Amino acid sequence: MNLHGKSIFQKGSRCAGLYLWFGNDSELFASLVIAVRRNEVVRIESALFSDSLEDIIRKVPGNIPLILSLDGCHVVHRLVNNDSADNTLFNTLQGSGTNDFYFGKHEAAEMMIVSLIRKEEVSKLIGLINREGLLVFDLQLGPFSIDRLTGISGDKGGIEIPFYTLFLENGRITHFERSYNNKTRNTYPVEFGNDIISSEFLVSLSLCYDFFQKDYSKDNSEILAAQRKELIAKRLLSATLLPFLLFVFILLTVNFALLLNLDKKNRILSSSVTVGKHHLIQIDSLRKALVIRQKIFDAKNDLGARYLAYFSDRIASRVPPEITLSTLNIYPQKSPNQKRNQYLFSDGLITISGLSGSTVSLEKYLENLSSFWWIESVRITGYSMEKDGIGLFNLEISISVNQ
Amino acid sequence: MLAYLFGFRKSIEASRELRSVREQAEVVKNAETLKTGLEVRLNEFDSQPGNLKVIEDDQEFILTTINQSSVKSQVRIIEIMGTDTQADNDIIRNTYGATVEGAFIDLVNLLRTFEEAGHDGNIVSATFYRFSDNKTRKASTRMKFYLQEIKAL
Repeated sequence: MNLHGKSIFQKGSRCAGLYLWFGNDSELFASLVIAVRRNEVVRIESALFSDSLEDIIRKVPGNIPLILSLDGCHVVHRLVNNDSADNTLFNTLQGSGTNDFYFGKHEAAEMMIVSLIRKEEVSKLIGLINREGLLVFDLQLGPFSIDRLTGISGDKGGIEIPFYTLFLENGRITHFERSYNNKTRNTYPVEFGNDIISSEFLVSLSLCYDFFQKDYSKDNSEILAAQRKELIAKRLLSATLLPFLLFVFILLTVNFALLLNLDKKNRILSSSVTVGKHHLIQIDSLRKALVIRQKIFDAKNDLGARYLAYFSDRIASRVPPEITLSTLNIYPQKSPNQKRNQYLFSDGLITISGLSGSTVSLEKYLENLSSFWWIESVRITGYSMEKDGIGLFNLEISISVNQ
Repeated sequence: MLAYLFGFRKSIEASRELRSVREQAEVVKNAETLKTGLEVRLNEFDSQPGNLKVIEDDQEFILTTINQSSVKSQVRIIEIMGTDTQADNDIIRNTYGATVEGAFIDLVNLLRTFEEAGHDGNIVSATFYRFSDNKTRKASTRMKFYLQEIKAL
């Protein structure tokens, strides 16, 4: 027999097929195949046989779909006509309700293979698998998915596998013979691509093929729906949250290393700074002293402070005969505070008050003042006419000598 | 958020601290050169003309300047104020002044004399005003002026 690894696959890239045969007296025949699908070719990653359920379950990776097939003394198979399949299901075990059974149907050549197992047996087994951290993606009954294997054909019209002789026609099972004792002749090597595998693993391998090809959207088994949901959540967790946490952890590790490095450099530099701290203090003092000197230098070189006599002379020279000045204040003191003895002066400001015979002469005086290059603006801050017709005025002049 | 609070924030702070310490270390490394440069600049400032004070006493300076001026016989000293000292941001401001009576033109000349005296203090304010003596009923022109000297503390 020569099996082809290549076929038409729809979904998934890795899965585990586990075939469990429960014999009388609790003896177990378990075969496990972990298969991967790459470039539309199925390859066997590992294959394992065991008579201990616990041992073989431990070999299944936790985050891949597990396709389980149950068989043996708890499972009943019947080959029935397509139209009588449902009735057969009801009549298989008289006196029991359909809710008590988990059943599977497999399309044979012209008939239907109906398989049954008590739900409590299924629940017990799934519970055991779940406790080991595994979730069952699909549950089948019997070895009948073997017809999924492309290129499989029976010599002498039948394929012999442990506990069964299956008869195929055009890649479909026509009928089968079941034996509760595994015959030695049923175990033989099979060529699979470039590898040779034992016929014990054919059913497990066919479960993987079935997983890659089957459309599970129409499958509405309650038991499996919960398992699938949980598996999807588990895979989502391992595909998104765990990588994210790993990424954060790596970042934190890198950050920690960086922090240690920074801290080390910091300590080395800090010690050199501590040693030379007196230099820093001296430099700070020198810088401060320089800033103060600069301020003093600027104050001494203030051009405006040198032109007070000139401003007084020029302002007085342009006074018309009708005007008498009473005060001329160059850079007046800002709101003198005698208690605090603060002397602050309004730089760039001149205030004048005086008496004017007429507003015309005051206007003329303003024009005269405005003609000086160093006067920026002249503003009348107050004017009042006295009873004798003389006007009291106050002027404010802004000056700038830095032109 | 937790990762930031427990990890990255500390690294950012450590990085900032390192930058600051590195700058300080750089200053320490070049301390001698920097100090020399700063001292040279300070000396340049200190050797500027005008920092040499001929007369220590401010009031004496006012009196001497007026009495040595060309208008000494035309003006009359009414008041010489004491020196007020203000300290602000490591800078000392000594303010002093006087009130003088005379003709306006003589007062202006006197003001110019003070401006050209080459003293540390600058004339910072001058006020000309008319004054009437209540007893003699005589009106005159007076000038009140302030000089301010700025020094380092």
